[in-house]
Amino acid sequence: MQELRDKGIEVNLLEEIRFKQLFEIDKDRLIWNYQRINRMFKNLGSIEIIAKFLINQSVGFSPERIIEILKYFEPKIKEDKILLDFAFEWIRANRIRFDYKKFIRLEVYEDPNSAIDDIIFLFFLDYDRHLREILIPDISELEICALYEIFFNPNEVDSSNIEIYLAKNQLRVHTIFKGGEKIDTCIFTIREGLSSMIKKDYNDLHALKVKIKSKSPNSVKENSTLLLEFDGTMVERLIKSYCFNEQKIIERELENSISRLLSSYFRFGQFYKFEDFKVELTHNLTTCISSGLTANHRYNSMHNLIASRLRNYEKAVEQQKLDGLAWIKDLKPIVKEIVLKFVDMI
Amino acid sequence: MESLDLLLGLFFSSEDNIVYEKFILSKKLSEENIKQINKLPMRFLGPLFMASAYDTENKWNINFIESTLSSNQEEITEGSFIQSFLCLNSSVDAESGMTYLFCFIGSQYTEDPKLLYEKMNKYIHQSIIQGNYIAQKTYGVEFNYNQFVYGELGRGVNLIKQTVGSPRRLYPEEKRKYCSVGLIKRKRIEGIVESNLYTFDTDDPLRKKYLKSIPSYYLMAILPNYFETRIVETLKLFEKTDIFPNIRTIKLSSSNSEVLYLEEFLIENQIRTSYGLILIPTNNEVSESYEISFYKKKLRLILDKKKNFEETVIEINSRINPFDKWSTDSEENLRNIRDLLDCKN
Repeated sequence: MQELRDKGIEVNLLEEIRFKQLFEIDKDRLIWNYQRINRMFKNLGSIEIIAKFLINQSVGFSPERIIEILKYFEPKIKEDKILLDFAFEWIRANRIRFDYKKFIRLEVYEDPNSAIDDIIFLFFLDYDRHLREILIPDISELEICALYEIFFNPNEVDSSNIEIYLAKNQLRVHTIFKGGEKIDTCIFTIREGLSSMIKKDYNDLHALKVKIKSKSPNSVKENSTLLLEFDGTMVERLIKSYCFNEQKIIERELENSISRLLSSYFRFGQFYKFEDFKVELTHNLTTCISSGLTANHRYNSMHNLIASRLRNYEKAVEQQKLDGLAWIKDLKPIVKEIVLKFVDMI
Repeated sequence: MESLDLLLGLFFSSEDNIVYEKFILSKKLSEENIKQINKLPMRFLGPLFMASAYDTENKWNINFIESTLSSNQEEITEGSFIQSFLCLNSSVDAESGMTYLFCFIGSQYTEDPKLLYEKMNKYIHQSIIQGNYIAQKTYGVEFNYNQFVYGELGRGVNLIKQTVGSPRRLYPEEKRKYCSVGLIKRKRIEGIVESNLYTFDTDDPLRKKYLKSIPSYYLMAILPNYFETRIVETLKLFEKTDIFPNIRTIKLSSSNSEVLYLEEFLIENQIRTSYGLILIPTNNEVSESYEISFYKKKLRLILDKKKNFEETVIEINSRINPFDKWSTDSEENLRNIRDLLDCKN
């Protein structure tokens, strides 16, 4: 019996280690941050303080909406857990969403269905187990499905309140009981909650790749596999840490990250026209800035603003065919201005 | 000539032992081969049924069998790109009986068996079990189980294809310590296999103690040969005669135990010799327990004749008797193992 218990503990420990390696959040820093907000707003209630804490962590909803969600889910939290644990899982979801977006951009899938299954396994299955640990066992699957949409796809969630949302979607997800026991149907709940988001992201990226290929067959040259991606990870990380830590972005770091983004695409000694890369550059800048900033910024409006700024520049360079190095030098101040403009808007 | 760089078969055995299968045939095969391929599931699943039936209190599951593939220099007919072969099995105790999801993968890469196994066990298999409940609730009497299972197998095949070729990762459990409870020596000369098991003496209390941690000495003794033969058969059916398998790892588990079989081989003058260890994870209380790398090194030293067999076996576990072997070549010898080594008294 002891052996069995040891074995069980060991398996849980290994799973915990793996989960931490993948989706760790800095709880000490978050608690410090929460305590700071708590001290600043002593007159507010606990739910309002947690809402302020979540806004500070860029979860991407209006304060009223966050308060409403917290109030709804507070009774669904296990007795030995508190609302702050729920807030931590919301922040963890934000982190997973960030990693997932990076992953789907790089991975090649044959079709959206393969992407859905693979991504659910890699990113959401362990998280589901973790999330359910803070929730009461008889929570309905529809409520968990709603949480997935709120946590991972806030831009698409119905703007009505949570109870109206649940009433509207009650036939979508079933909670099945057999002999008084709830049957595990977590995979279907995750699929229901996240398939449309993964499918949309897959289709957007796929359409973009097709567009780039068909628009600029000559620019891609023979060794095309090297050239198709701008890597905006550093810009994204810089903005993200700015949002979390509220520290001023150091100019040199910003310039370095923009250089990295541009040099990941442009090659010294190869010549490009502006039209060869403008679609890809606009998309990549929009994605890395929007992933870095709070989710209050809609992709489309941000994309239009960036495209319009680049269009102004395009008029001046329309006929030019420049070497990769020259493009890096020319584009650096333009991209820097775009990034700073959005950062200033926070 | 068409090249075949992926062999993939996924089959599901439901609670009432009906087997549903899905294969990837990227090469046109003869009618007879296709007919035989459809019989593969039962051959592969055989030991699984046996393992779970063997110890009714503690149901055993064969998680995966990993094998490398070597070129058969005499029979090269075409460029063969397949270099590893995996058999993966997920067993889930559903409401009214055991269900198995079994998969074989012949691939051109050294695969990550744990990642593939987890996808099968935690996602594909669970999706079949959970989907069954959902579909019954949604469609009621109109629910078509066959169509549903084949749809799910299609999903599984796509997910496995997507995963094939992923780099192998180092998992925390690989640093775990194991203790050896037996060694199997196998020698193949011109297709004839000679196989012997070395383990504790029958009167050694360790034999009885460790019998609780493995399905049985009998099953452990037959598994390497059994699955190697199945892989050879499968490769033949897919018309891959220029390669042959070498079992590297077999992993079995039950709800409270785990067994690892680890094998190393050497081919010299057309004689293939292999040594495999039956290992069980231990806690720090067991003195003769080591990490996997220790055992691999010891097996290589015996194969390369840099160390004496008997001495090395004693170094691995001083209680294993390296002088008395248990032959596994005939029914009579196997019965002997069952009667004397698997005896619980």
